Amino acid sequence: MPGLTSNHLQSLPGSGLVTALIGSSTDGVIVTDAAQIILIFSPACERLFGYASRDIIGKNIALLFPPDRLAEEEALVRKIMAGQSVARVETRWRHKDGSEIAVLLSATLVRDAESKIAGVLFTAGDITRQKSVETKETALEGELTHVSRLSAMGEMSAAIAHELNQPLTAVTNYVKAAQRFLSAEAPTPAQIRNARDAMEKAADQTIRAGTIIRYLRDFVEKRESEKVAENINQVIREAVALGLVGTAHSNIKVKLDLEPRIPRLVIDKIQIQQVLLNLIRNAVEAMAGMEKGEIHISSSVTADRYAEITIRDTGPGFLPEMTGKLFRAFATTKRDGLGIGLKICQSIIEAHGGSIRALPAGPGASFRIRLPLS
Amino acid sequence: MASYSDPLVYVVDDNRAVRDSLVSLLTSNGIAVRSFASAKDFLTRRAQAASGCLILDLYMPELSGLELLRLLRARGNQIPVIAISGRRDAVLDAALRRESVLAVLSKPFDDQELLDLIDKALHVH
Repeated sequence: MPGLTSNHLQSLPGSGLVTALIGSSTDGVIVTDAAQIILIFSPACERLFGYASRDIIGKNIALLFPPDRLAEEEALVRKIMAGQSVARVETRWRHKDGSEIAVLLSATLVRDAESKIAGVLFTAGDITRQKSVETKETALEGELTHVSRLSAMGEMSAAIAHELNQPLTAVTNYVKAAQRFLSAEAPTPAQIRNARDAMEKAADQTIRAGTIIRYLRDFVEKRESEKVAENINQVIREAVALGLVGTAHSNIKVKLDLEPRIPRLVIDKIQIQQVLLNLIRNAVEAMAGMEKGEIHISSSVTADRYAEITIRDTGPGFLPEMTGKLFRAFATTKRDGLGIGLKICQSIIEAHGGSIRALPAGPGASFRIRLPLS
Repeated sequence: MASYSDPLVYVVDDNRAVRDSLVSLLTSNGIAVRSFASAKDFLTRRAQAASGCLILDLYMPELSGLELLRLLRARGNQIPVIAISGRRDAVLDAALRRESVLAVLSKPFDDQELLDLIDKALHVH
């Protein structure tokens, strides 16, 4: 009878050596026959999947597939049987207790002396710990984004408080004026009109205050990415308004050259705004000591269907040797800089399927962002 | 009684809503007022005004409130000034005091406090 059997394997010459080899492998080794019945289940597999080899030998390998992935894993086995080898594929298999285990899977066909398919050799590496580190790293990155946003907040909170005090002052004044206009025994029609007018303006100002607070909340909130079709030019204009808060004293002028026919982009507005804000704040900071400074922001559509946003300032720019390091975490030219701002910008843009790079041509610093038109 | 052509109180603030609401507040109290959107605007159009009182915002682009005040004082203009500001800074407060401001009010301020200060300013001068 062709094919492998458990007895057949044990009767092979040198089977003691094979058993020793299999036993010493830190990766789990499973050998099945052509019908996917388990013949060999190595000690590493026993640790990995929780089954004693005597309990699982003779059972179908599908026992190790999570129920919700049964179809996919069986398709994988069919591929292997069709002669395709599988090398280091990440997948999830099932522990005896029902939990899922992240495994790095390789598999090859085993052929007998007549080159007929005899079975399959699987090796399964345990990458659960590695996966959990990756998950933690992703979480850490989210944390980092949040922290960076909070510290940017610290810098901006005073400026925003100032911004918020304006509408609050106006509201108080308007309400008190309305009260005063109506304080006469019999207010004249003009006084009533003035009072109504003042009250309406007060209401407008509370809405304005609310808008500022909403901005702040959107900025601080830790949240899942939410992609919606947005007018990128509007996102740019808002980022400029927010980026210039607190710079009333400086002589920085912003010039916008926005393509009005740019299609809407499917983006997470808050994240993209954070990127733009970061670049604008960098430009503002770089030009802080200068008598005059300009920030040019343009948007355009490229032939290969990307929206291109260029942000250029007239500040000192960066040294050529920094150009390559700009996006590395903790690389900074700022005295108090953490060097994570641009790194976060890059991860946000890349998560949108786009790219960001520093343009080498000076004077000043230039960055180009490319975002795909969906 | 003052007329519109002879305003008693000048308001200089770059924020349109604050400026407009101050005009409403003072008008409702029967006080003649004239407002300016920038220090420069005030300088070119009303720098000679030495009577009355000036309500002056501190954080303004180009020429700040303190800079305007110093210019006025350098020209010998001793108009009483009530400074208003969205944020306070001890160094700035001290600099303002050296230019003999009547008071520095934090935005938002109590209307009665402002009205009392205006009353004081107009009666002293």
